[in-house]
Amino acid sequence: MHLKKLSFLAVFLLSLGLTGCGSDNLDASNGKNSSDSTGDDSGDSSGSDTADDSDDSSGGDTGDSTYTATGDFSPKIIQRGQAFTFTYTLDQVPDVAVDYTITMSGTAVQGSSEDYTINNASPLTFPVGSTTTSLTITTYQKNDVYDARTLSLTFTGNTGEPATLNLLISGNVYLNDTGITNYSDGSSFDIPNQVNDKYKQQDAAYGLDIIINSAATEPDTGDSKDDSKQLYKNAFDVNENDSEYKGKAGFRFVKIANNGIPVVADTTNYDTPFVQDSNNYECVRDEVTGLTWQVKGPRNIIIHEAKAAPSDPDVYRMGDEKNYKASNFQYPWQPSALGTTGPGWYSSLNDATLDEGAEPGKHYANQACGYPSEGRNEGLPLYCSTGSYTDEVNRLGACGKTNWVVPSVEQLRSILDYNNVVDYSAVTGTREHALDNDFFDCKGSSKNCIVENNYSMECAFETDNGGNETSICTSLNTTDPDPVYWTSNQVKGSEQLAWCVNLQTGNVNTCHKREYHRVLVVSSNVPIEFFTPVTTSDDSAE
Amino acid sequence: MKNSKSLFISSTLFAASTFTFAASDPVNLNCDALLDQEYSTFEFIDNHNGTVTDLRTSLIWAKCTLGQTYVSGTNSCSSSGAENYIDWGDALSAAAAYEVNNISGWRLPNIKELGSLVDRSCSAPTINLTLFPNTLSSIYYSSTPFKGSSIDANYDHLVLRVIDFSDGTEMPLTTPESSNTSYVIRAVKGGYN
Repeated sequence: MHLKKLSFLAVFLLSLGLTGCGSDNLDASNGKNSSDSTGDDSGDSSGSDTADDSDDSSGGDTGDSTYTATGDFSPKIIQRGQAFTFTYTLDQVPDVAVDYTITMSGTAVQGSSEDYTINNASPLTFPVGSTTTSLTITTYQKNDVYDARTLSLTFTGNTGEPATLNLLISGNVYLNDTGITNYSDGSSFDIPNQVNDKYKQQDAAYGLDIIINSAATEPDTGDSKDDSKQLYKNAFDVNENDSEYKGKAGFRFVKIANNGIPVVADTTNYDTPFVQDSNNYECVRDEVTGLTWQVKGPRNIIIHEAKAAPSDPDVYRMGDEKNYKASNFQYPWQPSALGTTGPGWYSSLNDATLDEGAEPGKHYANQACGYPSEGRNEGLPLYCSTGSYTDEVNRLGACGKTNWVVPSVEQLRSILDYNNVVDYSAVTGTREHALDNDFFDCKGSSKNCIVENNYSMECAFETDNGGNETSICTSLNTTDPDPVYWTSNQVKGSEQLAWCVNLQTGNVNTCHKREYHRVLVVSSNVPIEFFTPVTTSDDSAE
Repeated sequence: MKNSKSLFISSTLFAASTFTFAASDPVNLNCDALLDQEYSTFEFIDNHNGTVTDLRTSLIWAKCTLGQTYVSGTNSCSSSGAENYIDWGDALSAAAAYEVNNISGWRLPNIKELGSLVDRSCSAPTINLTLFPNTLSSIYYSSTPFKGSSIDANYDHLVLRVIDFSDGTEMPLTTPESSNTSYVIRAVKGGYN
């Protein structure tokens, strides 16, 4: 019987980090070890978890009882200032004290002026006659901690596999401000000073674009500048050509090279994929929200190769074989491997079979998007879809991170500068947008590249005077830039729809998942094991 | 597949909800457990005084919509009484004048703050009803003006940004023109400290 428990436990622990679901069992025994109770069930190694221990209810085996403790071992994110209590339950009343040793690891620091304190030092004990015990972790606000910190508690009994509870103590992060620094009186919206009437207490009077913005005009009523917020260097102390520039108003951005190392703000060379170069940047970290964004690459024309015979298969390739993150590429909505689940759409690529990896030298593209063949030696299904693109960014470990996801509406909204939204009367054909040009635009091409036209070429063989066939290509570029970016949020009650954000107007609306739109991916400080996709895994913990 | 700008304007402005009041049952019947929950009660402290602290943002929120009565015995909000404001300026000053349990110093949330309460796994209303009981499936005001529209008279009526809590749509708003929904306020204070 006991062996069966263990085999189930082992299987479950393997999946724990990925699915993070449910509760977990851990056995402890007092008295002798449990080897004599393992024989009767040794044939069952299927990992089936439906049967109960038959001896649990017998209550007759005094002296060498094996106790099984149960608790919720799903990973938890604890906001700073919050306490978290873990409760452990024993399957039968112990006639002696049952101990579990707790070992702690992770980046969090213990102490009441640090990240956390714990009320129950190791060991965690079930006293005689008690089937429950608990420990409480209290976390503390700290002004100088941006990143979330990890804390893993491993419970070890004197038999059975140890079980680990992964906790994440949140970083000291906030909402971004909106970027609005002017006032509106209901008709004019460019009033620099606080209007002194019923419109007084609006957006511009509050938030980081007053508190940490040395150029701000303090309102009579509202927030004040606060030099003690030294973590946020005043943006207006430096101009945008300065190496320490971090953005306008209340925004604070830092450019990150493709190896994850921050680079100076006047770095203007956009990263070339697969080339490590500290003069380039690929990502932008937001110091206020703690989120890191992958910046889009410059436009990359998709070429439809000429066919020798009409029956030949279509072959598309990227003009730049490496630039898979081009801003003109478009994708339908599909979940990625991390996080969100739900029905989605994708389009297939030439050359790549759906369930095999790409081969070097081949072209993986279609009319809408493409992927590099370089560095590809493992099977990874490739499609044109937001999910497949995100999986590829994780495979490549952009900026040293492998927890990239499509942003939620609120994450994408966080980087919008509402001071820069485009007038409805001017949106037709314009490529202006509400993100900070100095950080989110690929300098390799034109300004405003993230709101891009579609670029493609159609090629066909033509016979020249000498009788030779040459491939002649015609540009099929659109002049109608697409400002709509996908989010990970699906629309409740409409499984064919997902939420999308217009980066010109800031509007948040629904899009059909099979529409082709752009995508920016985001990396949070939440480790991969904290992503908890909805699963149907059957959890039998008693 | 795109060209949706004009569609955005119309679909947002006139997709007014037919839902008016939330279910009074705070069990999250308005939520789909198969969709990603955007936040949980675990990330908030309910101060049991008509305010709720969001530990993710350090913001303190009014538990009730302006005009509803906070009922301390049940730590809930009256199902009726929510005040409908047809003018943004009036809404701004009403939020600043709000008081609950002698707690004052409130304001209208900006659009990002307001958006942080949207849970898109829920609808009608698209919010956690345990934390914010009797939230209306209506338009909630933000303090963020809609910047634009100086040139074209077709758009100069767009004044501010709002979120429709029936489904989570965000849009610019003019003077309310629809009688199908109401235009209401949830006040906020704090943040950045």
